[in-house]
Amino acid sequence: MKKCPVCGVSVKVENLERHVGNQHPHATVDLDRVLTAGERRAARGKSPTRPAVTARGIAVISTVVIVVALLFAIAVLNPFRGTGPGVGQYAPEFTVPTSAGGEVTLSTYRGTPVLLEFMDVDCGACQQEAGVLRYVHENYSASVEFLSVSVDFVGEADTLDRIQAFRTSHGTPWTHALDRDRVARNAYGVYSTPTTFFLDRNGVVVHMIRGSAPGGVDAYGEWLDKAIRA
Amino acid sequence: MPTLSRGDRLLLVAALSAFGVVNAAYLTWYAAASASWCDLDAYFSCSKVRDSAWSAVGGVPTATVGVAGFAILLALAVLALRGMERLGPWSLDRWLLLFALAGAGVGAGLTVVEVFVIQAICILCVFGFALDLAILGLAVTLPRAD
Repeated sequence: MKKCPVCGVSVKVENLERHVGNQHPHATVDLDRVLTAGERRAARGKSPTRPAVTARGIAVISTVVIVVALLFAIAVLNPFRGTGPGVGQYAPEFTVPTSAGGEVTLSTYRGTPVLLEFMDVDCGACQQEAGVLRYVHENYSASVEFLSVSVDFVGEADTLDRIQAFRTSHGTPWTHALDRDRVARNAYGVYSTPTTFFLDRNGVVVHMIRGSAPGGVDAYGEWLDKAIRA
Repeated sequence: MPTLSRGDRLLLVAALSAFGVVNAAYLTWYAAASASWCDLDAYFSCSKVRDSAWSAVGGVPTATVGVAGFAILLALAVLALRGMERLGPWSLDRWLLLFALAGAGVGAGLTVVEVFVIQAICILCVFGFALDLAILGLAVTLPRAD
């Protein structure tokens, strides 16, 4: 035991340096005058003391890590969402109100390939994609029907008036509709916007793109050509 | 958690902080992405929160602040696990408590904003808030742990 040179309390030799550091952080103490070189070496050999991790602790932490990792994976991957139709399957039928008034039923397009886009007026990617689709429409409107359906994911609630304003401001003349009851969204397993389906003249899914088309106009052209030839 | 030692609690803080870093980093990347796939419906919508004015403060994405906060908590926990007891004027326990309180406070504030202002819930943000609360709970009990 040694007396602390600052407060005078008796402290174990190996703890003295730590005691001075912890209890008197602002004190200027020359420990070389209090402890011998051997005592300081011995004290350093015993400190710092690493807090012990127990076997029980490892078990608890492992369990917590697994549970948290699972929750994170579920939150990110969301396995409970619908899957929607795959390539080669018939596109599910739906009827939704259009921004121009009235309703549109998908099967009325039967006999013509369809580009079916699920979008949102407030989705930045959809706004960017509108310019691309407008250009694609100029080249394919004679042979392909275009239909954009708002699934109202983000921002202010989409209404038929807002969709019509979007259609006008972005110069996208094809039919725009609102999936008010989430019927189409659930049937197609849409969980992000834009999501675009390419249907052949029989209503069979030829291809699907989640997000912006990676190849832009060329990608749309490639898949529309396949839908036309199918 | 009376049966967990101080070392156990610190290791748990480190593990939860690491998850916090990953979660906040994912949200930071998500904030920059152009698509929106963390959406269950119009209410549970990461995109709605991301597109709100509250997703960034002074041009800095809120999620980026989360990365920094959880990284600091992780660093403090690792230093404490290596035996360091003090950092500057305070003990590491106090630093941990301070940053855990700050994280939980920010998380609580953002959750209130999500519910009452944005009126949408970002599940990954709530996940981060839950991590904050768990770390705070551990930080509170650290000084009493053996």
